[in-house]
Amino acid sequence: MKYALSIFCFISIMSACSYHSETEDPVEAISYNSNVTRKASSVGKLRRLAFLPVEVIAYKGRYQTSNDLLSAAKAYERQCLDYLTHVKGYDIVFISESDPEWANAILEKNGFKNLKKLFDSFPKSVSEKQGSTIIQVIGRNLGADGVLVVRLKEEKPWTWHGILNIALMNLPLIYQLSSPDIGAWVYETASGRLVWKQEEAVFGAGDKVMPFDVQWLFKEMENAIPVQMLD
Amino acid sequence: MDYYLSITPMLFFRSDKIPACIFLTIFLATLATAGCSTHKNPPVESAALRQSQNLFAANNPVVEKQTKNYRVIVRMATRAEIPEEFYKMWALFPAEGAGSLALGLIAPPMYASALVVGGILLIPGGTFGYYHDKKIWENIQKAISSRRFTSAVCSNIIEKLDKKQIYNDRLESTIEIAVQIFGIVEATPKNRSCFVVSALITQTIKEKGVIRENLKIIQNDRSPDAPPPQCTSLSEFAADDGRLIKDTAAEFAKVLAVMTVDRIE
Repeated sequence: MKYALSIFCFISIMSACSYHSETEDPVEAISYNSNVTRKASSVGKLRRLAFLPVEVIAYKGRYQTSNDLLSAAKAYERQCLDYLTHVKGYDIVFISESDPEWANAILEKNGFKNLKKLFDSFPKSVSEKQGSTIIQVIGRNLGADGVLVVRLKEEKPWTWHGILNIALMNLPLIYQLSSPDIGAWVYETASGRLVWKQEEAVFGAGDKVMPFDVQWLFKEMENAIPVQMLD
Repeated sequence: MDYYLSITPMLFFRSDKIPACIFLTIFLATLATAGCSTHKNPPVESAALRQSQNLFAANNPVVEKQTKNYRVIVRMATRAEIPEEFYKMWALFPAEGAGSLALGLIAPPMYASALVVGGILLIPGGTFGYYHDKKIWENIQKAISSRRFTSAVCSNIIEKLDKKQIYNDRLESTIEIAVQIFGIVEATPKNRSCFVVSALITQTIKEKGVIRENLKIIQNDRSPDAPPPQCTSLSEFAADDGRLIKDTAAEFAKVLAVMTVDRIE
């Protein structure tokens, strides 16, 4: 009985490291009109994605200036862009590269002062009416089938936390494993719904040299519909 | 094997069990060695794998169609790439578990519990792993071997050529597509597999010459206009009766047709 309980606890902790979900409902693209062979709920049908700037939540002292933080966010963006375009075949369009005035006007009109305020509403409240609306507005204005949001929390390397972890019988470690540090969310423009998500708790992040390898967030994502499939 | 050999001396503390210990040690060492050699030797193709290859070959004969001034021939130049029967590696676990249990029964009390618990975990764990992975493999091989790829490529090319504007004075030509790779291969990083396709297209135009080009939908080596291959875990490929394999094969048939028609004169 004790062994079974131990195994159950171990599996529970390990499975808490990763959260993945995909919609079972049909997914609809807006940038093309084609009868594709994919299953109705395939996220790959959203072949053109609007990519919101990556949000990086850093611990105090991680970056000297706000420009350093911005550079780090850009580096993460490039990682995601490379992987999604070259390995998964998606067509990525950056909201940050669109007309800044347009972007700001859209945000303000929908009750968000700036992108920071918009991020604060992700991912929890985006399914609410306001979140859905802004997703649809951004997606439609950029001619994108979906909107991709990525955010990361950079954890401070463990020092005395390691000793504390032993003293507290791994409770800090369990807490870290159960609170995702990194995540990607894909929203459908047509409906504003969340259709795909992958969140990960970065195990042993304390010992890792930053930046994280964020590409593996998308490793289980289906490829985008090839451009040759569009009539 | 090292593990079992290292625990052997402790069994000799009970002299009355020596013959049983020797027998069990030899038995387990043989099993472990057999397990090692399975991995080291080149894989032997099983009857099930051969049957799947034959079924795929039967489903993919040479297909020939004519439209306008084009004669289109699509053929398989190779067998389908179907993963080896990876589930078989689990077969050893229940036997090792049984051996561990047996050893536990005669071992000194200090070591017995680890051997018994280990044995209890290995038997159901190995059995579950075997049938779980077997189902994955079966779904994959069924999905691949039932594809009619040559006829799908040919039909798509004919459809594209029918839509293409072709002048009446165009010389007659033969387009041959030889599919050189089709199926699921191991990829980098480890534990990933990719559905890949590669084909050699040859257009022979009367009194004009021959055009040859390789079309590749392969990881790290694909044609400039090709989409990336579908790469994921084998369990993802096997899900929903191999739905991803079926969808990807249908897509690649169309992609190959479009790429071919884009290149021919």
